[in-house]
Amino acid sequence: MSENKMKYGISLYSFANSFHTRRLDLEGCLKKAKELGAEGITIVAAQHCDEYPFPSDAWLYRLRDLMGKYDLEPVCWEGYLDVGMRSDRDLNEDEIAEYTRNDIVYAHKAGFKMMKTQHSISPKIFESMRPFCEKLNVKLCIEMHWPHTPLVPVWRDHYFKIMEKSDGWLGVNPDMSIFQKFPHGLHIRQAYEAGCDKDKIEAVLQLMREGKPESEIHKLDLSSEELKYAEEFYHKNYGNPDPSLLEPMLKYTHMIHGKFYYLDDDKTDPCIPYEEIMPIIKKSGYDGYIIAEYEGHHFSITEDDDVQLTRYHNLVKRLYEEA
Amino acid sequence: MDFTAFNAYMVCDDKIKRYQAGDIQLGYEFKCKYPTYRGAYICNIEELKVWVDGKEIEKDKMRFGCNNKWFLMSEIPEAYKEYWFTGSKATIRILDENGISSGEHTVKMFMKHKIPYTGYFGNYLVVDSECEKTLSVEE
Repeated sequence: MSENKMKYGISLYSFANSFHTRRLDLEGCLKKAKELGAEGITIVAAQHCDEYPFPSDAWLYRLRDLMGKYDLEPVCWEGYLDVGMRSDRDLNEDEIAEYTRNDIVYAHKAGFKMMKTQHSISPKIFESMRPFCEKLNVKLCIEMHWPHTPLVPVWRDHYFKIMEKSDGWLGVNPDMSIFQKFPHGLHIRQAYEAGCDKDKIEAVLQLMREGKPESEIHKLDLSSEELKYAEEFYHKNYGNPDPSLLEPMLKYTHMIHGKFYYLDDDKTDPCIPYEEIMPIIKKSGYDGYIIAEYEGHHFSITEDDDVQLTRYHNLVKRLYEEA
Repeated sequence: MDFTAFNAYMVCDDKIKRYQAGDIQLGYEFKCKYPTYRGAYICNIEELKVWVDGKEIEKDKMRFGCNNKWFLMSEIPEAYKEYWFTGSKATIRILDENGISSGEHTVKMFMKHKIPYTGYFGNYLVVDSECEKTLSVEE
């Protein structure tokens, strides 16, 4: 069995609330990531770059220099493929290819060896990018994010096959949201704040714990608001694949998104089954990064991202070491 | 629900500012932020409504200001290369030759906006954001 080869990083995305409110600027996010123990970072360009989607060389070189200043490995330039950026139509093939090449160039200039794109790139354009990746020495990976899973046909029938033939240049970035199995604390709290009855919501959660199908919620005499939350809980958390499906993907994995929404403590995550995930990663010998991605800011602006990231790293490091 | 926590930031706490030319009242302005963690292409705003003291403002009386440019509501769908950066303040200008009275006013804003990368299985996530604040007029 491989010993502790995996590396721990932080996505600056985790500091979304602090950045949005200007409590932290770009340098502040990097400094904070270092203080929290990250070896490397990723940056979501559409979030942190005020010149997006056309950053200047000056902006990119400043980012590179700041990562050097705080001794942080530039792990990944996280591009977004905003195929729906226009109101009249989706981007066409030429436009998707152009934005992808641009992001690869930006990654190179800022010192990253990896660029992350998204599922909508299409198999044809994804495969066509390999020569450009080699030329710029930047690997390209597609994020697999819920509601996609390894079982979605475009992955099973196309993307994995393209990765297999790419000598490592083209890969996947699995986001652990694909394995979420139970609503997180902030989502449940939202339901209560919206006026849902605690006993009714608890009854829905109990159905989920018992693995009962969504149709059972209609026997609970829920209000329209309670039904809305019950359906959201099931939609995001029920029927997602078993974490064992991660293992065959790890040979193509460039980095792992350590997604989490809210941790009460550093003992367990009721939403995403890291007790099952971390042993799979360790057993495989995976030696890339797990990038902490705190996403509770979609549900609450009152949580402390420092505290959440500390709990997350404590949790996954312990589970990895104990595996 | 996802993508809703930043709704509380959409109407900024900045004071309402009078829009005038010398002593001539032309209207008033307030500040707003795009209500999610990233920036937005302005054309991803699919609907924008504003109420001041409970009265809905007509579209032809509203202007949207961002990146030192001004847009008619009818121009917003065309602005696909105009990027409203994360957490930066845009301006809603209301044209009203009567200006606005001193003191406090309630400002409510509704925005329907598309999350442009979410086209999983052909469907984009479209979010309804709403925020109301009581703002005072800058004197």
